[in-house]
Amino acid sequence: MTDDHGNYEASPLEALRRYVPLAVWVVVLLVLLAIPLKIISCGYLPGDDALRHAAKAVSSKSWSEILILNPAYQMDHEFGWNLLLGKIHRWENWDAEMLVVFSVVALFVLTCWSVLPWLKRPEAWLITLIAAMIVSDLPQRFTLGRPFLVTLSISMTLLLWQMRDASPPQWRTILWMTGLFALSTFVHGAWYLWVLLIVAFFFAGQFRWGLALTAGWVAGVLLGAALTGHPVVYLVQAVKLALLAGGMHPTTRTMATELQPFGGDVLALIILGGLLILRQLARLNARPLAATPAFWLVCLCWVLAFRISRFWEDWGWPALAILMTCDLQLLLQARLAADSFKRLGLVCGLGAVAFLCLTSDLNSRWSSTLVSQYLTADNPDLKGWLPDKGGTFYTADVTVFFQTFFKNPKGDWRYMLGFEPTWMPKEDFEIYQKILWNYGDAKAYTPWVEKMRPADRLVIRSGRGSPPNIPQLEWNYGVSGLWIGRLPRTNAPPLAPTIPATAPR
Amino acid sequence: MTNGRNNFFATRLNALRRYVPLAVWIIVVLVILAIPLKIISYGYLPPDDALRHAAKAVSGKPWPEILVLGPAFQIDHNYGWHFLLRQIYLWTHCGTEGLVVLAVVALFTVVGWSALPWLKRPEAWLIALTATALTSGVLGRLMLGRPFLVTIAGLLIILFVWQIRGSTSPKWWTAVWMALLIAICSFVHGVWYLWALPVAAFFLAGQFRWGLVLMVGWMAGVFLGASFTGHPLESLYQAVVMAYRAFGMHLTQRTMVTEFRPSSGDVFGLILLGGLLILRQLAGLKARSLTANPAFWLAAVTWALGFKAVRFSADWGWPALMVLITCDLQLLLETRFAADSFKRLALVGGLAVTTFLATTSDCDSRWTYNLTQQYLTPDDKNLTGWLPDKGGILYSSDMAIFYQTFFKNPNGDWRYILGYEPALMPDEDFRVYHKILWNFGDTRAYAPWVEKMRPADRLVIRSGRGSPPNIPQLEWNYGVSGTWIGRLPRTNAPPPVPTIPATAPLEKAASPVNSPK
Repeated sequence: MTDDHGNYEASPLEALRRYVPLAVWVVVLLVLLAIPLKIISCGYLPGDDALRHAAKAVSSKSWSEILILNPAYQMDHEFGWNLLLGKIHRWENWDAEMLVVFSVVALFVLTCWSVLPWLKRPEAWLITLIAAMIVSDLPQRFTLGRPFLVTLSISMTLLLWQMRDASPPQWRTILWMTGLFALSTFVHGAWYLWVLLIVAFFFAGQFRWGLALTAGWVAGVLLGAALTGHPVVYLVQAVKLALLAGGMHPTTRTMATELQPFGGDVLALIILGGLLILRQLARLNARPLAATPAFWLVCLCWVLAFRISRFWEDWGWPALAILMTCDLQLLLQARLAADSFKRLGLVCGLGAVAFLCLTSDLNSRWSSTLVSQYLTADNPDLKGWLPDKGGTFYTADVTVFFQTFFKNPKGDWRYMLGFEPTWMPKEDFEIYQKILWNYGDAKAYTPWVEKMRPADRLVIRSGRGSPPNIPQLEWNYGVSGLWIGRLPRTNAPPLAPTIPATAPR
Repeated sequence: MTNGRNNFFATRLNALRRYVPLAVWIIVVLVILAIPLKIISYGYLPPDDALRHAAKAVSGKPWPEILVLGPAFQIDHNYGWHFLLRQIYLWTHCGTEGLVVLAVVALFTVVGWSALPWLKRPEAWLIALTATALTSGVLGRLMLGRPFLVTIAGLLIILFVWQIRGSTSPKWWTAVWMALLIAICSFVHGVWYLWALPVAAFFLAGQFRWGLVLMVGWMAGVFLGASFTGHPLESLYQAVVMAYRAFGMHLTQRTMVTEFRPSSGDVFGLILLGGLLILRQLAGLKARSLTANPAFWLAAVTWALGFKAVRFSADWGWPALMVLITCDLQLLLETRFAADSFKRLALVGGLAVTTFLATTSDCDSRWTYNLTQQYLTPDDKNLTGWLPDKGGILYSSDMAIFYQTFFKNPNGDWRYILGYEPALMPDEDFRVYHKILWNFGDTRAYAPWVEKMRPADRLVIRSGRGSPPNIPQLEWNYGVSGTWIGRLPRTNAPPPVPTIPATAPLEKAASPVNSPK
């Protein structure tokens, strides 16, 4: 049954080789789908904005009914995303948690799949994801379930699109770009940041692409803003809010973490250096870096991140990921035939590694929320300790807002601190700023304590050992790590600042 | 017409090319100056010795009038630096803060500029500075405003001069300028013996003639510098004794000052060195072999010594590595960019912006951490009676308390038990101090100090607002944020219980919260 050349088994295998590329695609797609599902199965919930997006969709209220805002705030600056979640809530009757799960999975998949159509070797993207997970937070940001991921996906798409097709863009290309920019603006709102990408194209000498992008950007931004019904307000407000968020803090320490400067991300530089060495040693026929927009976007954002780290996290690192993917693709093309079984073996191995690497619960990154305790109205121990109707929920901890609003989307009170501190009324921002400036010193809360009404509550993170040193309020150790203060309900003198004898929890 | 216009512009541009090198120099010089100015503009003050140097200059007192010292102390080992600051103070009356600002800006600039005269491509230095800032703590040390920076500048000059003149034998006048340079360093900084490291590096690199010349310059310079103090032998002896005590009196490294503790290996330094090797190979740089380069040997030797004390690598190894990086990058830039090309100018512009942002970025509040610092000062009415009385002693096991309090009270008429080097204390007090650190600040370890406290003395302990230190023999005041001051009770009543008094001093204005503005 064997011929002189030992080809007995070769023929059937040869017939299967044509399915290798398909199998590779299936493996990569499934791995990228399986990752967020596995992460969610660990009980993961993002720590920040995804919670309030979902809660807002369930609440059906506007931000001004949820937060105490300053006059700079006029309309929802992520109009499209909140609209989409609201519709889903109404169609499917999903609660806040289900909406968050949907956001996390859908946006992770969107982000990771968005690069695949432009690749001939999708396994290169798996390698990039593994490397990025080991040396940075990038894949973790993919799981945040926030609308900036739509913008991030589009920027990666545009970078890859141009790298794959260096010919001058057609008018249809501009139409596509317009649609993408409109989507980003409608959903995410930070329309002005696209300037970075356009500048990168011009720096790379890709003038026609740069011009096409500019045209698409202008048209797309106007279209996206028009979809909100208030185009001018929407666009102006986005800039105002960015200026407020970046300009009202005397030091960077008191800003939101992602608006603080970064330390230079040396590991990313090492990766870039590694790419250069790879190009030399493997003699890759890659486009020179100086003619690659992704490279310039990396450089620009790396420098800008010394002011605000988000430039690097949301624009620079994704661009670096694109550079890596393209170079690795060239390497793989040079080393492995598209239909070789070795390639299939490699992809299966990479798929397993990517899955294990991204889903590994290192440092409880995916399960830390399991121990979170929330302030909820259905907790009998908290009866009377959540704000009364029309009350104000004071806190200097953004996480407390995210978690409490997430669990109480219909709560009939408002929060002093929401997702962006600079949107508070100016006098309250000054109090908040003073609290952070003094590392949470109880005395800095005094102005809020003085204006508290019986319906209001003050929530402070602190250990069970002793309540916050604010004797004007009576305190309850609400849930683990959280003290709730309210004005004393009797005419008796205020309670001593110690744990009540009944030890609530 | 078009050709004519193009030619006109081309000619005009060509005429401007000759100014490119000048523009590059101006940019680099200005960026290096702008960095400390920007950092100081945040309100930055160094945390340690710069404060006490300035305060000493203002006080005009010798150390024995400022600190309670053991017999090991004989003479100021930063004699020249204090002399210089004192003269500046007498001329300008600028106060401690002004002196610190001057020290920070001037010393950073001296180090930053010391490399430039020896370079054809000064932008290479900017890259080295940025790389170092990103991968090590050296930038923070360059902003400390301390006289060791003069030594670093001297080291950089010697290493850079060798890079450009090392292929020829040194002349007799090489020893002369080296002697003068080392004399200045010894006079200002005092740590003369560490110059043995670069001397050894020259010999290890096989640069025997340069090594011999440096050794001669070192010996002559050290004696010259020590002679300026008026007590050459005491000065030299004191420096060695101090080093011996600073290292020898501690049972574990944990209780030493941070910069005397061991390094963990500085992996990024190794990666940079590896990157240089790869760069040499891939770019075909005609650089001198590393093993024949004293800068390489200095980096290697001090990297190894860094496992004993991190200062070896921080103050000697990293500057040497910066020299290596700069020289290799200079070679690369020379092969890639013409000296007068506009591309070079654009590159330098980009590098300048990058260096400026990378170094001045307030990442992790590194330049603003001190803005919330509160000091013990007599003009704070709430501290009336809580600072040491005349002739009293301020007891503390926290060196930052000494730095900050002396900085704000240079003319305070009390002394500090703990100053800038614990090994200078009387031996019995050092044992108490060591026991406190050994026990991670356990209040019981303070007992010997508490027992010998007089009414004029104070004990200062860092702790949160929640409750005072558990030393009931003293009465306590939450002086400023995070700081408790204890004194002997002023009445014959029994000492108060170690809890917050019923009058709740926590809520009175004696413990104000800071204002961010």
